[in-house]
Amino acid sequence: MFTHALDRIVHESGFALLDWRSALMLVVAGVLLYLAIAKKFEPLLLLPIAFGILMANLPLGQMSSHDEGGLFYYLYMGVKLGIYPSLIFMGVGAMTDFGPLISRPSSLMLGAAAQFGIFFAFTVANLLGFTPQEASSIGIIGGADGPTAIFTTAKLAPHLLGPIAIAAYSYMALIPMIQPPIMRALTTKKEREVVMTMPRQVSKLERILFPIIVTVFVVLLLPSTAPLIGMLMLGNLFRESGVVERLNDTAQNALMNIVTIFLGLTVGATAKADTFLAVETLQVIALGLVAFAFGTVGGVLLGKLMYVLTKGKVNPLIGSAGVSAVPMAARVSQIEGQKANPGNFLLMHAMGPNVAGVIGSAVAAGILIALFGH
Amino acid sequence: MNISGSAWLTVLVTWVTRLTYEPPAKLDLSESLAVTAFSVLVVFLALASIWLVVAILGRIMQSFHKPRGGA
Repeated sequence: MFTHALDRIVHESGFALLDWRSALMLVVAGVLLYLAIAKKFEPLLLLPIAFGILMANLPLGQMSSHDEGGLFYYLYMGVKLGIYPSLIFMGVGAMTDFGPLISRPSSLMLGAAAQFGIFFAFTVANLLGFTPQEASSIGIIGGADGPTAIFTTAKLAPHLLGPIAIAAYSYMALIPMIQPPIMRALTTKKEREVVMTMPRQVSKLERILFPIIVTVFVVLLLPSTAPLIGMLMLGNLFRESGVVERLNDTAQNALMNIVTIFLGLTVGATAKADTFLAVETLQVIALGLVAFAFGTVGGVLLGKLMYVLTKGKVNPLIGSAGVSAVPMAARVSQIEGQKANPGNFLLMHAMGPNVAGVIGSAVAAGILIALFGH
Repeated sequence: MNISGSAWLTVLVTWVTRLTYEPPAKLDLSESLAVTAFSVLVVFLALASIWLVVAILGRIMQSFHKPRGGA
């Protein structure tokens, strides 16, 4: 009787169904947890993503985002319906100071140029045999903007959500390693030494009008960007209006943290062994790196053009900050600028292209969704 | 490299008329390049337009804050 019960427990437990593929996914989850905890690689998202992978690959747990009736199945609706990325964008807007961009609006062009990586990777992915929807989702990794990548992928190629989210957040954490060699290779020491003049003061009225104008203009141009751009600018209006401090605080702290937990866990829980352990995943990760690298190239090259056109007043290093990744990409510009000229402070100047990159990647996503969405 | 004229036209017409675009199951090089060139153009135009509006707004704001009176 006792041995029969024991035998039954053993054979009906998850251990009996733990095959090598699931075990390998647990190792992947372990590596990502290590990177998040020990190496602090984008821990706010990588940690829940990794734990989501861990839970989804424990047999019989019913914790995959696709296991109907399971906890993550319902929480995943926020990803599937594009709710979480939009709410995160509201928090990002509440935390973002668009002042440097408003004071030097030409920064917007650097934010546009840095989206080149998205379309380069898109083209390569198409040539590798991915569908246009998959290629769009892979390319958008180059925007260096996690919520936008997840928003686009959930709409165009949800089966790639796991690898794309992991690639996007891992590469964002690796920006201080990916960008500097490209920046140094494309610029001369003389260009890197350029000290830029301080931007002008921006009035409160300009700060208030900016999110309203951008929302009206961009949403009319690209309606598919409405959830991202609209919420980004709403969050920024909370911040700049100065009259809804409680909402501003909630958007950038409590709400953002709650949504980040749901988003990370459920995106991680889409990565089950049968879909994740495929050649496709390796291709996505490789193409994501290509997208990041070429985004940096696009930004720096336009920075060089601006250097020439302004007769040496623009430091091309700020161009690389045009990939979103706020504020890490701007910090990289600052660090590289100081290496060339210890008296150089590029952070404020690089924040302009950096926040322009957030708008640029949302616009790029809107175009791809408009062209290839169902 | 032959960039098909029809690929460019399809993407352009789709965008302008906002018809339901039925992309092919796979894009070849010419179609990918058409989409890429067109999308990069739209990204630049969109952000350049914001630049223009913000620059005009900035000029107007600065004109209000100019010091009054002469020497």
